Amino acid sequence: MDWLRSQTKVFRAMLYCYPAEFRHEYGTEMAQLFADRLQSEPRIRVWLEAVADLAFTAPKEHWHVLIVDIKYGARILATVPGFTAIALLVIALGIGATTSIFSVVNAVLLRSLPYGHPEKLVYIFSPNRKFTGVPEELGPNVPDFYDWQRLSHSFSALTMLRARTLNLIREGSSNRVAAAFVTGSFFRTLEAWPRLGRALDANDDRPGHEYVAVISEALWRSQFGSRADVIGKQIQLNRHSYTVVGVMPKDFGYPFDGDIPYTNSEFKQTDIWLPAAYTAKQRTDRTDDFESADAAIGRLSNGVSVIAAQGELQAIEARLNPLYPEMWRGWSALVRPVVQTIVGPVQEMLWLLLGAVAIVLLIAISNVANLLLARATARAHELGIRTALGAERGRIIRQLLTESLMLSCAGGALGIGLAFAAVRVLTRLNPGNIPRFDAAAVDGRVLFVAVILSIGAGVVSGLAPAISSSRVNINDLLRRGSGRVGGASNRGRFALIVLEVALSVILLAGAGLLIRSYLQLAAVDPGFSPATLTFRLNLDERYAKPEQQSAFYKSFLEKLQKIPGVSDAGATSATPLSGRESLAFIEVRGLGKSKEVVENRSVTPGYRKALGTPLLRGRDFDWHDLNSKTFVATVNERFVAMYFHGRDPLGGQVRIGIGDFSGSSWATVVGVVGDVRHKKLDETPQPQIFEPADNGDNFAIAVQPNVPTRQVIDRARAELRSLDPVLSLENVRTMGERMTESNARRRFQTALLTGFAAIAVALALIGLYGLMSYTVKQRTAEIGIRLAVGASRGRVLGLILSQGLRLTAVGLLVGLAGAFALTRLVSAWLFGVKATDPVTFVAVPLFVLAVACCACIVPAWGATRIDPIRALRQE
Amino acid sequence: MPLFSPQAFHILVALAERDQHGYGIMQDVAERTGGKLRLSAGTLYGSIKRLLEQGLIIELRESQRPEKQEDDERRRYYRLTPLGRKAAKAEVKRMAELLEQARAHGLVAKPN
Repeated sequence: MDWLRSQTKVFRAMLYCYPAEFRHEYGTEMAQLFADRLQSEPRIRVWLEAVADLAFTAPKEHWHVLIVDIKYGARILATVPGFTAIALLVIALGIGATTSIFSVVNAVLLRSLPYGHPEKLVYIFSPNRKFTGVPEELGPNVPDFYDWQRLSHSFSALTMLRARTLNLIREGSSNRVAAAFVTGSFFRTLEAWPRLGRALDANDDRPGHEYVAVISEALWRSQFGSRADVIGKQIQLNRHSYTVVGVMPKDFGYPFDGDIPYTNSEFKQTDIWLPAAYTAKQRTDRTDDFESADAAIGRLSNGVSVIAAQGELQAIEARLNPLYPEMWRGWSALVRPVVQTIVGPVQEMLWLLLGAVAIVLLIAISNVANLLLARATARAHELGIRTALGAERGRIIRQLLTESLMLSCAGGALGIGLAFAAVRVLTRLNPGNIPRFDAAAVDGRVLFVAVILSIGAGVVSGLAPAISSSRVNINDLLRRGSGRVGGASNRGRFALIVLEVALSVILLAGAGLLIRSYLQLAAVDPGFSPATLTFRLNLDERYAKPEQQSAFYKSFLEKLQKIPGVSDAGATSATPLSGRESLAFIEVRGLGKSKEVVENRSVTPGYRKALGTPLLRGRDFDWHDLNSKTFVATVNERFVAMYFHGRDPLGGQVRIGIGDFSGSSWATVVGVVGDVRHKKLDETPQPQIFEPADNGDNFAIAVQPNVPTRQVIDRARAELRSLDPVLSLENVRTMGERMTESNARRRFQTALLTGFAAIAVALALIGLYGLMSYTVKQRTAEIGIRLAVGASRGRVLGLILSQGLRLTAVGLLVGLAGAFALTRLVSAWLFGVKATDPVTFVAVPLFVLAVACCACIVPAWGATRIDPIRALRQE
Repeated sequence: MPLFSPQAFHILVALAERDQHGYGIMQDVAERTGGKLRLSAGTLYGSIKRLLEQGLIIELRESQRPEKQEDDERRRYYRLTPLGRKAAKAEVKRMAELLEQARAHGLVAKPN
């Protein structure tokens, strides 16, 4: 009957699927029953039934054990409400913080873009090696794009777009909307299709056929009440009427703010797509006046790499360059994945925050582990009795793990609730143009991660305490009574505190460096007055001629200046921090040409004063300069330092050009003005040159108000209406608001990291306090003896304090070493401080020591209050 | 609502007549149901465990076991407790009433 024995053996092995208790109780019987059946029934049938039975009843038995454990655990936890509340709070904080940040990471970095196969989409930029100091991410030249389409084989589709703001005029009122003029292949390239109607196609993309529009779901909702009959309706944009042919689905709003590098929009997303409809001349013309667009996007053909596509386009550009006038030649091609380009700038910041929040979670877990270790000691008696009554070690571990999982899952559920609230707060913090940041939400994936983290936290925090406390020595327990067992785990608890302190030191150091940078930045002189009010005007086709523009600006500026409380008003081609830029090379007569580009600005007289930039030497422009036969310019300090080599700039002659200077005239420098930070507040000011001008179709206006801004805005609107009712003020903001926006991301990051550091310190503090209270309790007898034999209370206080501070000091050392190694990660965001900033690295340890003192002083004080007589009697 | 799962009820029925071990219960049930219900090991002992916990059956101690020739000493024997008997009767009564109601509504075929 060998077969019987071996098959029964297999069955016995299968019984390991059942809880140990059940197996021990009934395993033998079950095997016996199985063997009996094998002998009297068809074997296949017995086996099939046995397997099915196992699959059904083993989980059921486990479930019964779990229910019993949960009931028992709930009873136990209810007896220690303080412990339970703290553990829940700690876990909830850890899980809540992690979940909130993860939902942002999920929205911005992980959730896929609403385009088909977004990983195949690439931007094609057109850098020009003649433009030193200019970003490489330049939009394509229109004629080049059509040649790429004709000549390249790397792409299954190519498109190009120009982003603009337009006036949507409905029922007499006008609204600014973000629009994109796109080539016919736009929707096909992005593989995004309308939910209603049709997309734009090549047929629309022809002059004469371009008055059709696809609108966003948001616009459809707000302007057309989501009515299905919108298709075929006319909408008026600026002075043209367009037929609506399609409505895009909810998520689609490309380009979102920040999607195209180095553009800045007042809008979060695009709401209207119109055909670009370039003329035959625009598609081929490469004379000085050639058109360029904001972005070109290609969809890589299967099997074509980014490098290969770039190689091909560079080769094509090399062939196209000779077609340009000499001064423009030097174009190349740069191919970059769209996803990487869009999220690139925020990726590191978000990973950093996620890393920081993971540290918080780690501290929370070790804190709970610490609490559980302390609990385990207190429970030694209960566990010892259970062991004495025959409970197996595995059974006890299982019971304790169930309890820590109960804590972590309940805490996790609280944390998820916290995250729902926190994500709302986060999305309101508006950290600047992070694409799809608003979309952050606790979705299925986030919930899944939160649940996994909660379970993980329960296992990690519960395992060590469960194992160590299941190792109860009954003899010890019986001999020495309760309360003195499990002392071996003290070393584990000390180690956990050292870890917590070290981790919070790392976070504090990171937060400290960012705070220091932020303060440094706040103290920086931007070169303009924060009170200055700025706005932009978009002159339409009626102002095509420079004279018309001049006349308009002149009268508008005059009106603005007459507004009570306005001291100065002026216009410029680009205000600081507006994202607008114009760059050129310069030549200083007798001193040579610049190797890098300088920022050149056209400004009206009065602009400098309105912006609040100081005049350092010489004079400002006046209106005579505009009509004078002799050209004048002003330059900033940095310009003087870079190009005048110690000579007197006043009276010096400069001219502006790109490549070829022969067409431009010399201008005399009449004044030197202060440096202005144009792109960002944390950049070094660049050389700037100003020319007097009063024409341009897209000037920005600066006004220096001495009364509340609101009044000035209302008056300015009224003045504009009186001058031209169709035009509207755009991007109305004070320079102070622009500074706030410019710093938004940094502020967001600094605030979050500081918040996390604060949570970390608080958690470490709770841990340290708990440990010290526990140690004092444990050492009650010893302290009692010390007091009895004459130790002063001060000495006892010092004893306990020094124990706590020793632990803190070890944690500090470990943490500082870690911080030195890790603060490199934040160096990209530092301003005016080094990653090894001495102030931070002195302040953090002092702060931690002070906080640790506070955490230890209460238990230490308690120790001095111990009554020696009673302590000894207890022993 | 039934008081017991069908398996548990069959175990109680099997123990109503005499004390039995697990295999005996299984055979008894199989016989009575014409082989339609065969209790597998996990189901059988899972149910027994629950019935024990509820005090409806007890496991026999050494002294209570059947006579020598009948006793299979490798096995554990179970006995219906008075409470178990009461519960089983209550369940039977419930079923009988149900059957009666069904009959009144013409749902039950007449015995031939």
